[in-house]
Amino acid sequence: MIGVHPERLVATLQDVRLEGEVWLDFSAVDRIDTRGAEAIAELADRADTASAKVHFRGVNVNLHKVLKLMDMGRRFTFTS
Amino acid sequence: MAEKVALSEDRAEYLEGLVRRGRTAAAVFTQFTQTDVDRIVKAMVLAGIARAQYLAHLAIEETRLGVLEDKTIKNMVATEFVYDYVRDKPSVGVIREFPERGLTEVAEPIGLMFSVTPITNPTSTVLFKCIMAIKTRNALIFGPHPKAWRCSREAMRIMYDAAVEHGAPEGVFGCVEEPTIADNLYLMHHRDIRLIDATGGPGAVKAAYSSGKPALGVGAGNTPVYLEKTARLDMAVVDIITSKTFDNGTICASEQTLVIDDEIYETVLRKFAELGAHICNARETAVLGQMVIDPETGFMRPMAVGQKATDIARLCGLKVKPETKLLIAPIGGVGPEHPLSVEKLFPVLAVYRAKSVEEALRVCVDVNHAGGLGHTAVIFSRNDAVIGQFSELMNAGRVIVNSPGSIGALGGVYNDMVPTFSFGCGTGGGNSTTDNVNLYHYLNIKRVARRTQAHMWFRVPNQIYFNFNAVENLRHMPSRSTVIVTNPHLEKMGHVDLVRRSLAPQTPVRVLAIPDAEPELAVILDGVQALRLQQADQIIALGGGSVIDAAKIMKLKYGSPDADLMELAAPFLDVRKRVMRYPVANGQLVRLIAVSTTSGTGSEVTPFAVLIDRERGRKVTLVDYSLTPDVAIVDPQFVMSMPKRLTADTGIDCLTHALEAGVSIHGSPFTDSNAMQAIRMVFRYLPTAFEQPQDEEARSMMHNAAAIAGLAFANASVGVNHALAHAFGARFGISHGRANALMLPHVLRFNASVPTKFMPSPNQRAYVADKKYALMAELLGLGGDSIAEKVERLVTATEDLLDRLQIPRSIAELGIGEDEFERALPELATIAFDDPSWLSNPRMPLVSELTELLRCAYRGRGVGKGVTQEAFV
Repeated sequence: MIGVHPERLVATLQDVRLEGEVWLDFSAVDRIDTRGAEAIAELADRADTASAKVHFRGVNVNLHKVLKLMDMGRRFTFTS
Repeated sequence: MAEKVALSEDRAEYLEGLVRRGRTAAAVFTQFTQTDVDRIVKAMVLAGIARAQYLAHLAIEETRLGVLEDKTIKNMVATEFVYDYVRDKPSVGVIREFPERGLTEVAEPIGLMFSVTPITNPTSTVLFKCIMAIKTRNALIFGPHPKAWRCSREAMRIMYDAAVEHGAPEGVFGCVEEPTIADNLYLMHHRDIRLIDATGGPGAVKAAYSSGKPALGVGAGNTPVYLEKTARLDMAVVDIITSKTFDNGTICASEQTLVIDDEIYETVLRKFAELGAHICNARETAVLGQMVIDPETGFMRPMAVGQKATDIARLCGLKVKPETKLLIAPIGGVGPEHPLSVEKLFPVLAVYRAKSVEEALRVCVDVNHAGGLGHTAVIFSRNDAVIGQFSELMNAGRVIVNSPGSIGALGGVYNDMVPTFSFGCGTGGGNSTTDNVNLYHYLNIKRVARRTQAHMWFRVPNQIYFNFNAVENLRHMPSRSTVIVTNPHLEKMGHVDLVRRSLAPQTPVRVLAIPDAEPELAVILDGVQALRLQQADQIIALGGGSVIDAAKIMKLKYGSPDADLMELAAPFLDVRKRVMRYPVANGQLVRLIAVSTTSGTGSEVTPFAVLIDRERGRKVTLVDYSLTPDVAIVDPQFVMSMPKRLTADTGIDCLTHALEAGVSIHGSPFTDSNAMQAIRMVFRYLPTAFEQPQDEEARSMMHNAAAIAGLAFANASVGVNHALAHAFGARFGISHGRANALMLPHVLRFNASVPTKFMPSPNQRAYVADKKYALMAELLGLGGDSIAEKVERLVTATEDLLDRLQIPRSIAELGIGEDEFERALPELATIAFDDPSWLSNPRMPLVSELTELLRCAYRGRGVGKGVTQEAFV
């Protein structure tokens, strides 16, 4: 489980090694900005390329809605 | 990805980049609070105000249209005035609440929008839309006019920088550089664009609406202005010049054709001339028309748009004074042969001399229909009637009164309209709204509707007198003229004399004996005639349900002779929302006193009356609380001689009223208490009243029970039992009470089982019919442990009561053949389903279930009980 710190969200997502299954803990993330959102979109593209499964844990409901609006809902799995 | 539009790969990728960023920003923006948004908007507005003149310069430089000073003012209005409108308005989360209606409106952003902006207002429109978008948490891509894109982009950049600096999501605005029509089409068809907001020419607006996307498309106008003779002329002339020359006439709401009353025509033109207008002669008008309007298209030529009057005059070879502000061209009509009657976004104003108000209005209609539908119309007048007529005639989203058209239509300066830079033109202009487009058009507004309880009521006669000799209370009811409505049988029995003796001394009385049957219209009309002859101020209905019903209808027609009984009998779902309203009597007030001579119908206290329509061969039920008698006299001495069978039938009618009102979806604690009490009294006293007719207590209590059950069903109504009884009772000539009795045990089981379909009933919090039946069983002391057991004991007790009253056990027992009954069944079920009685039943009956219930009644109570119950589970 990789903890995602709000201040280091972009760097964390860029540094994630995508092999097999990856678990990211978003419990500490209250809100994301455009760069964070773009980093998540890029992560989705990289995961597709690497055939990796990425699981998000602890995504709050507002952030969940943001990801749905970006069509990211189907590209990750979400657990509480 | 957009479809259908061919673009180079690079260009498509460029546009896709704008969309990608905008969409991401829109998604991120949903996390923002009202405080976030308001902070950003304020910063943007201040930035816009600070650069208002700079942007005006850029616009003039790039477009060569308009006036620097006016464009600066437009930029100020687009920021300061718009901010004044939006600053305190909630746009995030709950935006409006209506607690008394249980409604809350909650804002949902639209997402990424695409906005087309015009050449005529290239910076102010952008400033306005940026503020609206941020206020509503939307992202926006601009498709500016190709000849104004640099200044539009700069306006956007100023807004964007201020917004992002104060926390807005990066990418929230984008602008297509070096835009083309193909770019616009690509974006309009892009799946990630949620709304198109097109402010511009007809082409852009049409493209927006043709895209299949939700669109706000607001475009061209052709504003008629009527200068009526009562107007303040000095004010009107200044206002029109101010408006028509504002930014050289580029605002599409500005005046296009001025229609002037004949009486003031010369004066008005002189005033225009004194203030710097050039009044063209016929030749000059003709030249202008040829030069500034394209004869091929009938539209204005672009070279004239936003130019000064003197420059246009020079282009046309007209000699005018250097200080000329406006060219005024008299025209003789509207249409292609009068080219200047169309929209002219430059300081040329057509004028028409009208010989009458009628002619003036007609010409304004013509102008309105010559390209101005839905946009703006202007009138100067102090005659409210003319202003009203003008407003009725003009198809215009904005009718501006006694103020400049262009600045007036913008809102917030000369009037209290919403400030905007986008005028909705309604369907007349092919638009979706007639509003001044504002922040609410940039929101999806969600309505959170909490469950509300409908207002309920308990409406009963003003006075109810009961127990032996209650009729003597008539003595205290003074009357100048009383008519007693009764039937010949009751007259013979001496009941009428008893009533007469009870009246106040010297009361003039006429007796109207009507047939002992449900009343026909002819009987009613004869009765009304008698009431008129007697100038009656008091009607005493002495009889059973038929007589009392007849008197109720007579009173209605006596007070409201024009009342159409067939119209008033129109079906309805909810008495408060019914289409037909009962008239309020416009004549003298008439007191209706109901003295009941049977113990069952409850008509003495209810708002129902049944009429026979012989012509159509049907019963007509009238329902309105205005039909409720003013006084009910429940005196058991009138029922002591009721025959046994009538006692049984009317008694079961009373029980059915109480049982049905007791489980009605319109039931309330008020009706429940009456229903429960009536049930208890029927079970206790009806057998005695039947078996020992002279038992005064039993008679008295049954007479009271009928009225008490009436109070319940007058306010909670009845149910399926009555619907079925009405249908097969009428078909086979079975009395109402007996028909009810034959259905009753079957309907009790039906309502007590789990419904196939529930009735929509906002006042009920659960399905409670079975529990209420169980409560009735408890009240009757029938025992039982479970609800089902208690219900079954109530059914059994009811069946036992029916047996004791010697009521046939089945329809078959009445001598009706099974084949005949089966043949009639489909129609009976259909008629029962059309009967409004079941609308308050706790369980919505299917036609198939009504059929099955009728079959059960045919087979009879106690036959195949298990099978019957299962059929309804």
